Amino acid sequence: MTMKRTDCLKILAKNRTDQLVLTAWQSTDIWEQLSPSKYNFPSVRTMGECSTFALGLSLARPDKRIVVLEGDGSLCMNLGSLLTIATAAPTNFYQFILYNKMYETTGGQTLPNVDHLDLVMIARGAGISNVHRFGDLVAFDREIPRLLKEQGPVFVVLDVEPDASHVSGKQFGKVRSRDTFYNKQFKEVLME
Amino acid sequence: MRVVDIPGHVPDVTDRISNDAVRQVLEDLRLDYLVTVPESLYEVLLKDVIQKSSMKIVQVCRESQGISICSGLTYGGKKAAILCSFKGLYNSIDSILGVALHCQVSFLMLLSEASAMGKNAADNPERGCHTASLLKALDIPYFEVSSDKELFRIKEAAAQTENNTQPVAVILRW
Repeated sequence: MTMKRTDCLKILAKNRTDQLVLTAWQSTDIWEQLSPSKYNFPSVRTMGECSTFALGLSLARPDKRIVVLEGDGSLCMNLGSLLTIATAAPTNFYQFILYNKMYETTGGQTLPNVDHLDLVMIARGAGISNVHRFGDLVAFDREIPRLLKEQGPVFVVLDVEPDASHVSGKQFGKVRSRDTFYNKQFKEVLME
Repeated sequence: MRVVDIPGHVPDVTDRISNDAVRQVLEDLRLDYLVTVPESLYEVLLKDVIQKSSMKIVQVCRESQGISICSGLTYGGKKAAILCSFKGLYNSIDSILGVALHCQVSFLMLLSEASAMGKNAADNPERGCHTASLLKALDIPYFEVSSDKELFRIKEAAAQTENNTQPVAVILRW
């Protein structure tokens, strides 16, 4: 079963409180529309490194809860990051993978060996024990309040349909051109 | 990070730069975190840090992760440095550009490189010959240390990371 990405993110937005939310690529624009906040940070520009930047942040700020929203393509660019995250074991770290099995923004090319890819197994194999997968909105809606309070690191795979309808160069450009603003705003937030 | 004793293993040390002196400099800088992929030229330094220092070590699988983690640590108000080989610099270019420079954070990059002369050069004459060129291409300021007398440059590099928007590198030529 799969879910619509926007519906997943609406559920997450509904349950969001004071978490710092770091987004990468395709989730950025939707998240900014669903949950605009000074606690958002959309500015990591290297595929696969949003989670490791977030890891550094979570170690530096154990008083904050850090949520990462990234795609499966990004994660696969940096699978070793799961080992690093498991070793550091930050208790305030929550990683959500939007798993649509493809590189959506470049035209829908599937990930390598996607028919056999099991991100849950890979995360568990890396040593992350709090691993979940959702393909059903009802179950996700039911579980997410509890998950966001659990001790991290928490790794969640969300089976989503491909959906390029929201992605446009203009929308991407709109968020990306504000990077200077986001950098400044987020740094100020961290000094609170 | 754990270290396993390997029977018969001889550490790859040189007499150009003393591990103890480097550790002392890093402690004087009051670093909170040292992010690293272990490498033979500084294995003794890492053991010393684990045993004698209050610095927390974050071990990464790949140095590009280390750049991002240092960026996040710095963003969050901690003092961090990455310790890696020149090969780590090579595989970190995208993280340097897309994370560290893009997010405008500054931290120390300690890059291990064999000296141009002697035993290490004979083992691998190409060792580190691109380091300085790459740092120049990235517009990252760097210092070079080839002996204990030059270790003060690490402190100079650290001073440059204050109120800066890019990493500062030190090439350690063991």
